Amino acid sequence: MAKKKKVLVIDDEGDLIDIIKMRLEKAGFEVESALDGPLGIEKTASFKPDFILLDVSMPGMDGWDVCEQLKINPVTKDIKIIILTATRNLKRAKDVQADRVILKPFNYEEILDVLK
Amino acid sequence: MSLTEIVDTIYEIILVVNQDGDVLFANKAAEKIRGQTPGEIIGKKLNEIIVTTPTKTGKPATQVLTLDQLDGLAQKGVPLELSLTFVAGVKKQIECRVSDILWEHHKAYLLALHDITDIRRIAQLTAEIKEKSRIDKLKDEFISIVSHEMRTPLTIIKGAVSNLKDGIIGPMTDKQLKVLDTTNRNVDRLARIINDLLDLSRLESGKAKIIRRKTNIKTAVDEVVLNFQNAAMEKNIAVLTDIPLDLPPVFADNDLIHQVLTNLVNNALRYAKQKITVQVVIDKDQNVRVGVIDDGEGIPKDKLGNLFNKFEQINRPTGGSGYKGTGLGLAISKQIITLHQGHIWADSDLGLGARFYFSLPVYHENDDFLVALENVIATAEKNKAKLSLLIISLSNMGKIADQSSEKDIAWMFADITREIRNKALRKSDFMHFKRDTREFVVMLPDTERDVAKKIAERVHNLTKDCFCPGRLGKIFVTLHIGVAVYPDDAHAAPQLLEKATKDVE
Repeated sequence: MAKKKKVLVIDDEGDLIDIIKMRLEKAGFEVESALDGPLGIEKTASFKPDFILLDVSMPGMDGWDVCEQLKINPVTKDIKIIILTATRNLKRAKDVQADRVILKPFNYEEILDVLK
Repeated sequence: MSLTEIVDTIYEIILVVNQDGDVLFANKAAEKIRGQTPGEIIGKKLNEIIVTTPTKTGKPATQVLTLDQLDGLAQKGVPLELSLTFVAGVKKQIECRVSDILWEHHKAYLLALHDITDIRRIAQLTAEIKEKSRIDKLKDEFISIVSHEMRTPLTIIKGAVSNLKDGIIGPMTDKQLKVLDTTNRNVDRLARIINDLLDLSRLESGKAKIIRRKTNIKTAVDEVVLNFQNAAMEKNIAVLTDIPLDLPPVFADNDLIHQVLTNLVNNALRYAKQKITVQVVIDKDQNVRVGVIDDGEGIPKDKLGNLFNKFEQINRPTGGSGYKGTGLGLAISKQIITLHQGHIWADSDLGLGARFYFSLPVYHENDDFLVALENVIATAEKNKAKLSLLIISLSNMGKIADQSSEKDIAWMFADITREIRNKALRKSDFMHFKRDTREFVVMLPDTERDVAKKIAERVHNLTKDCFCPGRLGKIFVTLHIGVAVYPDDAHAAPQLLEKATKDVE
């Protein structure tokens, strides 16, 4: 069996993490999570995910900043980052080199499609 | 004119009072107080004439303007504001100024009473308007924040329901699935209401960006109708279109017009029995009018006016578990159409279906340019900067037109445009060719009049030395240039253009 793909979910909403996690684990992914930006960056280093689902509006360091930091770091720059946001700020997404933007409220099919 | 006549002509009420409070003199204007003539007033006590409630102080009301007060006011030289009730119960705000004078060798007080009722009323209205716009702003912010905050929990609920429905947690029975379906449908409905509320508050507050372009209504209608074909087929309803072939384009935000059409067709689909027609015509005012016509029950005439209010849903189909509206669709549509300087209305005969119409102004060559100019003006306003406008016209256009083909003229204008852009303008300047009047309009952001004039001179100089553009050969172009400056000459785009055009002449 092929090695499980790893997904890191960074979101300050624990409940949302729980339900995304359920879904992704069922779909065969290995999932870890972090409740804020700095923790997310730490987790990225240790967990070495293939994908990151990243919420934008988090207190303190927001998703844009997290994305920017990960993308300028040569070690983490190749991890695919999918931004989850309710605001259609596509220019900002491009500026921080996000790989994809999924607009909230989203459905799972969208996320699963992207992860494939 | 005698001094008495002059004093009697003054609008202000003038009274002279001695130290005992007896009125020694009153001008004609004093009649306004109690309806008594100066003759009747003179000899009375001041507190019989002026019965007041001093305002501003917040202390318990004194019923008279006391002599002590008069002395104090005269010493300080400040006015006292009084609320008086004049003859026939007219309430007045009066500003009273008092000076010490000598009247027949005795100390007395001169009272000048000035009516400031209107001034106070205006101040009050201004304050009310300010308060109202503050409340409106708060309301918009409130809706915006609440809607955003509601989205996150909704996303979570929706996710949780779909985890259950899709058997992620474990197998579900049919009954359980049915409950989850209901939950899901209502979560979607709540999400729609939130989205609509957010849309509406953005439109109402002017925060919504509308991007108007030359737009083909036929394409929009066809797309929207196509989107509804499946839903209509399920309900056995035919959705037809009736659109003339030679329809002129409108000047509109395609996405927003899509939203309006979607709303109207969606509504019609809920009430229609067999057929919906989307009909487009050019009306008598040369606007493009779109009608969405259904063959449902119709709407009582007295309800037609309220239809475009928020949360207004009439004859709503009862029961059933199907799609439910938010009651905001028509309010949103109205906002959108109003932003386009269009009209939206409904008409119906009970039993004969409902007809919803909206009309939009036809696109003119100048529309894009006017919007561009409005945007530049808005930027200037925001930056508190000046903006200069040049209008450049060809004074010998008549002669050129006589001697040249349309194609050559088009080349000529292209050449002139390039020449002016490259040699006279700066990077930040915009230049536009107004086809209808065959003029060039140049927008010079952040530019004062003297600099604008220098640029105009540069343009002039271009034509001085042998400027015979394109294939026109021997014809020389002579230019006339007009200048207008925002905000000195005008604030709005059309007026600014007019000013600059006048300057050319």
